[in-house]
Amino acid sequence: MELQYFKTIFEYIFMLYAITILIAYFILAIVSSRELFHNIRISKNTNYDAILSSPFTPQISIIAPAFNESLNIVENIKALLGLYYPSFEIVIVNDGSKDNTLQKTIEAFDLEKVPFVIDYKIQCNKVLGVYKSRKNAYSNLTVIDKINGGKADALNSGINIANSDYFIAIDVDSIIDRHALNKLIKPFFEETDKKVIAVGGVIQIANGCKIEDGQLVEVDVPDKLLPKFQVIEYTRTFLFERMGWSRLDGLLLISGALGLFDKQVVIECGGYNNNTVGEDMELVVRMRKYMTDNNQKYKVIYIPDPLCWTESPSSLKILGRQRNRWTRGLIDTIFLHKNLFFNPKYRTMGMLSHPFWVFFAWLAPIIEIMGLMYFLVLIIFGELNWPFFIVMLSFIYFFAIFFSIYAILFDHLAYHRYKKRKMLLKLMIAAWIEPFIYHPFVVYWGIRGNFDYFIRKKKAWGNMTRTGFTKPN
Amino acid sequence: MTLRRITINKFKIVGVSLCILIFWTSFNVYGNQKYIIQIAASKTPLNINELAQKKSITGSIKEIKGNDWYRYYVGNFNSYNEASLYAKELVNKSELKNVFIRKIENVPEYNEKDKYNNLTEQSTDSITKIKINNSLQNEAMIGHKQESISTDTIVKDSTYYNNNQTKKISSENNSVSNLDDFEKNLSNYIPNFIKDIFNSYSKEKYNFRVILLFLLIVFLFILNVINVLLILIYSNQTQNSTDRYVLVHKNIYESALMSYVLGETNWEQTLKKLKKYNLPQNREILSSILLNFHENLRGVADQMVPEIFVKLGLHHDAIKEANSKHYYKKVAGIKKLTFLYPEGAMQIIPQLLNDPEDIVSAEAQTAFVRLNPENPFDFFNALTRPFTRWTQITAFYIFQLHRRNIPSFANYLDSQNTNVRNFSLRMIIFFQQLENIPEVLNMINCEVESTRFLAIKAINDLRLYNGKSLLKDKFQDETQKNKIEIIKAFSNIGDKEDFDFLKEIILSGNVSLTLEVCRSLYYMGSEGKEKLNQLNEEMNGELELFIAHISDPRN
Repeated sequence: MELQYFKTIFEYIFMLYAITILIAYFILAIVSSRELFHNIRISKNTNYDAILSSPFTPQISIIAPAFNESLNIVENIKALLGLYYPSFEIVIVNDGSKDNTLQKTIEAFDLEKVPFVIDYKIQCNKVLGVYKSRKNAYSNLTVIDKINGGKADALNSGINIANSDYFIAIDVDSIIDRHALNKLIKPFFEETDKKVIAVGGVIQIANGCKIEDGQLVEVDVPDKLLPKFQVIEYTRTFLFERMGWSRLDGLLLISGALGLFDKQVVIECGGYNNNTVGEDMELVVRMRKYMTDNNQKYKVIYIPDPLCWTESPSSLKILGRQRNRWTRGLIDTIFLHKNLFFNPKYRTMGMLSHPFWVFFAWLAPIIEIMGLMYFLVLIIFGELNWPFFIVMLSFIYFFAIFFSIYAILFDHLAYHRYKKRKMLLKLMIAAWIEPFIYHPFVVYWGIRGNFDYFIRKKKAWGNMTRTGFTKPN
Repeated sequence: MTLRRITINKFKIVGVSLCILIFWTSFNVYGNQKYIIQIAASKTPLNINELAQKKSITGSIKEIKGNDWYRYYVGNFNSYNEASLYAKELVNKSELKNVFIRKIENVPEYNEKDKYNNLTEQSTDSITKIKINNSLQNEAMIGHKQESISTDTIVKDSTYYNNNQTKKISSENNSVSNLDDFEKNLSNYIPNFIKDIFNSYSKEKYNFRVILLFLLIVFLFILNVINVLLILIYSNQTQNSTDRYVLVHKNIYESALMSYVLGETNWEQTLKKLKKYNLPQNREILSSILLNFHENLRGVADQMVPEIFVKLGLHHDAIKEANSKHYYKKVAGIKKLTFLYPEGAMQIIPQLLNDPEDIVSAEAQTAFVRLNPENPFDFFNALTRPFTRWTQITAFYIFQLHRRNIPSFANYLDSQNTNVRNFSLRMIIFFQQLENIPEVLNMINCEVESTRFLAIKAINDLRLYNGKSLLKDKFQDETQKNKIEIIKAFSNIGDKEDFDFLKEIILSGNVSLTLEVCRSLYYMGSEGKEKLNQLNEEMNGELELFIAHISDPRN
């Protein structure tokens, strides 16, 4: 008798969870689409000429941690030097690389060690040396050599050395759009009564695209299936989720590959957290908490322009490590800031965003696995209502496809990046098979991340092997 | 073996044990469950032979007694599906109007022989009234929908309890029976070669409603995919055809208008070449061409552009756009009016300076600066909306580009609007406006940090020696950023009187401030350098690195 009750309660929980998650994503998608088209209209009327030639344009520091990046470091720095912005400095942080990243950089840009006073406003590992170029052409390049301490530590040391009021944290192997800095700084300049503390942009997958001189010249869909799935996933996430949260003032995550921050606020918050692998999300949450705790009005903004292109892992092993790390980073952030959970003091962040991440990001793979196990038990004991199951499965599958397809559509309508119909068709086909092929892996990696976090107490980043950007076919 | 390894092994053991426990419990719970088909119930025992004959039932009938009810059932199945199949067959082949599938555990049974011998005759009317005891029903039916299969209208007032809720089977089964009729009729129209499949799936395995629902979902999905594909194809084609259209017409219009501007043709000839210029899309093209002309042409040619704009009646479109309720149309309208119909613009723009939509008010503010060469910032006095930094940069850009008259920005320092004050300070610094120093110095006491910062910067950049004592007084209470700016100011306005003040800062131990003090002393002149070296000696060379840092021009 009790088991029957148990069973009914279980089923109701699954049903309620499924309905809630679908409604939540649906609402986010609608809000995101409105925000997307609003931004497109605004950007059509924006003229960046003034900011490119103004003496009042603020300097921006680009901080890029580098660990074992000897393959592409020189090309990546050259690409950064070519950005269209009147006043910026590049700070490359060699985080104890075991290869010849530093040596290659020194040779390529004629660097020499300079005497440098570092104010350790944020705690970080010791800096072994600061290098600047002898050539005027690279006068805005600074390279820091330090003891290995992880990405967060490297970013903190970069912040300590950066001269500007704003800094961008990027991955050194990412391709930044030439106009990215103009677009990212604009929200800071448009702030009215609320202080803008962080701005993020869309990250896209560069696999399969044509790259020349460190710049993306032609967009294409990756040939391999795994990066294709990630293209869809990124499109869906950035266009249908992040935009919505930005609009609702509940954005908790600005990607570590590209984000512009108010340096002073970051310093006052204590910089990036060294003890988590989800330092990007954790920083944004902490910044938001800090502003709320100090009764300061603020905004975290997200702009829908694709400003950064990054290499995605093309092997399951590397991708698994990445997703494992993301899961652990997410859990870290959720628990470090557990006092946000349904806390009205933090308004949207506390009442919506944090619970959303808890229930629909962290718990989703766990509940999915529990559902799968329950499903297997029902089959074994002949209790499964097959008609109901098939209908529900169809509904959920088609709903998921709905999101992916409309994300591709909106992306196309907004940016026309994929010029050929064939490219769109490839993406749509990948979207149809994604739930069967890719999604189980995502769930597995989520579970594995939970296991590694709670049981194995794993804190490390893991090895992310780079292959460099592939040339297009 | 490490503690972690032991812990992981423990969890593995626990996990496996848990799985075994779940399976064993489930087996025990579910393994002993049986499914029976109840065919009748009565308060008094029935004659089973009669029941069997009356209802044309083959197979053994068994009896359960519980809670004053005698229930008669056939079959004994391990799964619900098996019971369901048998029940359907039973209803089809017998005279039974109604049967119930029930799940039971450890049911006491009478011996078949005993039943046949001990039954007393009862009225068959009692069979038609089926009341099922609440508790037994709950015990047997939790978690399972009791399926009632009938090809005829069933007994009236027949109810059952399911988790303490009363449901009338009659209405439900009526709709089921109606669907069954529909299904029956439908199957008459289905071709024979798929009728068997249809029957086997719809009748044997799936409820007809489920199939309908599934087909509906599939249909919606296909519709959705077609919709998206059509939008993609259509939008691509539309975009391409729009681009081609614009290109073709732009070339024609541009060439015609350029000829007119250069005096090669007159207006009538030009109008003839501007085919279909009254179409909305073409008017947009014309507006963009004229905006382009305005940006690129100079002199007489540039002066003709607004005339053409008005002659073509495009100013009406622009005014309409500027008065639209959509913010993006307002912005487009303001732009067109500003560049191509200034007289009309000046009537509309003042009303939009404080528009609730930030992008509209920003555009209106920029337009005002552009359209008022004599007093470009007159609107500051009436401004209630923010004058954002983005607008400031744009306004400054226009200012510089068109070499406008520079007003005295000190007049705006008493504005309540922080943005206006800050912009004025920036302009005072940039244009080196030294005529209103007291007002500038006053800004040091402003409660807004950014205003104070700019006031300090003004003292530094304008070399306002009067402000030195003010800076020293304010230093302790200032933010880090402003402190650094104060120290920077001393590189330009400081002298040996200020050495003690600067030395105090070094001794405070703040690295950033110490670095700036060293820089200020270094660039103060020979006296400053000398003082710096002296301080370094006093501090046993602690400032060595600081001096090396600041003397490298790359830092």
